[in-house]
Amino acid sequence: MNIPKITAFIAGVLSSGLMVSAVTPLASGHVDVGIGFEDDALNLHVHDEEHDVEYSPADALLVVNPQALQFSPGGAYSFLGPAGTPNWVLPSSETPDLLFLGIGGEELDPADWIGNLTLRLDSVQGPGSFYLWNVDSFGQPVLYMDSSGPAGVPGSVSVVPGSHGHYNWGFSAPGSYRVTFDASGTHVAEGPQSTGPVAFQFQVVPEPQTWALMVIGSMALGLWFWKRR
Amino acid sequence: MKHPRSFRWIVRGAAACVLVSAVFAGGSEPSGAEPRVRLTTQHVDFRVVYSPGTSNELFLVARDGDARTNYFSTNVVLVVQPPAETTIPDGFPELGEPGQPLWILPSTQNVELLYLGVSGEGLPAGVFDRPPEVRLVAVEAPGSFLVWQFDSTGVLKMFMDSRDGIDPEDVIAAPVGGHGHFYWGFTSNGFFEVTFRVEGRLAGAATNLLAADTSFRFAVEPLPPEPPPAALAVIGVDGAETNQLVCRLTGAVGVAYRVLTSRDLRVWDEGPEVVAAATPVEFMVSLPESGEQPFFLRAVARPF
Repeated sequence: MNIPKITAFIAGVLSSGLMVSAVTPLASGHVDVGIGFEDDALNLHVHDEEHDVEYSPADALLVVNPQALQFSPGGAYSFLGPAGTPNWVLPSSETPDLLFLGIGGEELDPADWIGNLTLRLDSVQGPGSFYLWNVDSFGQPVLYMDSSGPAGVPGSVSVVPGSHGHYNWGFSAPGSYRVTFDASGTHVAEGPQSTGPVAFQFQVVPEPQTWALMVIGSMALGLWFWKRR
Repeated sequence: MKHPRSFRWIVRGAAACVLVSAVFAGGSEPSGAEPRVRLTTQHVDFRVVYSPGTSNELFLVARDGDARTNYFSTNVVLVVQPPAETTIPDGFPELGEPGQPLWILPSTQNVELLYLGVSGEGLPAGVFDRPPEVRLVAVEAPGSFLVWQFDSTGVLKMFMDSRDGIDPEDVIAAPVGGHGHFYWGFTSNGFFEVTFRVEGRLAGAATNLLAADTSFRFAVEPLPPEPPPAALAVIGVDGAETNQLVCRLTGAVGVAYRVLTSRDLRVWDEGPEVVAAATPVEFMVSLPESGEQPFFLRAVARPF
């Protein structure tokens, strides 16, 4: 195995984590997980608010940049692991270099719905846990979704038709995730509506140190192949 | 007589003044003014608007995101409804003494409360060299005004705080093309007149673009009972200055009244602010320089 081949191998390893064909990566700006009602059916989509572009969840990759790394303070936030546990968090207030991800029911007419809609966590496939929470007026966490779930944690949030909300989105390990939600609500004319399970794709990008480890590991693997030849 | 003409219209004005004060003294809204739109539970942003080539290139409006309508500050009242009242718990010295009341509009939506943010949505990308800033410049209120955020692990960041004086630290940047939500705190019920100044630097410009100061009114409920009307009397002309009317105000003790003046009962200009005391309070009002038109006075309690 020669040097260009090793380089190509490393590039392949690196890119396999990041690139998903025909999928648009969204890594910054204000984006909503949107609930819409079109052709008499409730749907879930990804709404790029800044460019006003709508994607099917299968066509968008929600990227969690390395700057999202933070450490659990423990205490009331122990659902993120004991103090010092690393997590990758998209925060509920706009932060440079990080996706500002909300949950939007802005396309829905409040007059069409009885009460609020519900966005429920269906399942999470990935290398770690997924958490969705908010912080109340006095700094206490309100946990809405937790895939590592202690019993009794509600796995859902209310979505007000015509409005939107911001949350903290946390992942306990870098890598690729498929986070599956379903949305439901009661339409005044059409009755109960549900989207059924819809998978959203997240990519949690590790911080540079982890990249460096991956590169060194790949090179070692390459060298081992090269020596074996 | 040294100033026969002036004196004639002073006397006429004074007569009118006494007449009108009996009819108009008191009340909370200047007559003829449109009632303000109450924003109570909507998603509303303080939105920075850039309008190049006009006399107000930069200005601040209240954007009702639900109705997709922009309001000028003088046309709205931002209502902090009674469920906003909470008690400060232990361990938040930034917010105040434990056990004290605090009215909070939260940064996450509560359908019973106004959902208030700061927005630069609609601002063109690349025009400003950094996001325009919304600065706090004045708070006229029975209490203090605070704006803060919590990060994802509950660490508090204070953006505006009128308790420690108002200085350049009391500022929120309006993200170009984006918006943010905040906690808005009021340490008392009553009316809060909060004045902001928007400032931005166009890319390549040497100086900042400044917006006119914009005062928004918050009504923190339950509102205290409206103070009783004040009685106004004109008791004479100042001995030294013939354009100074000497007036007397009797009203609810400790309540600040704004004296308003008009030539036509339609347009009212702001005169002095007078705080009523146990005995009638004397104050001066300057008469306008020109014209022999009638001159009217009235006093209104806050909000002006």
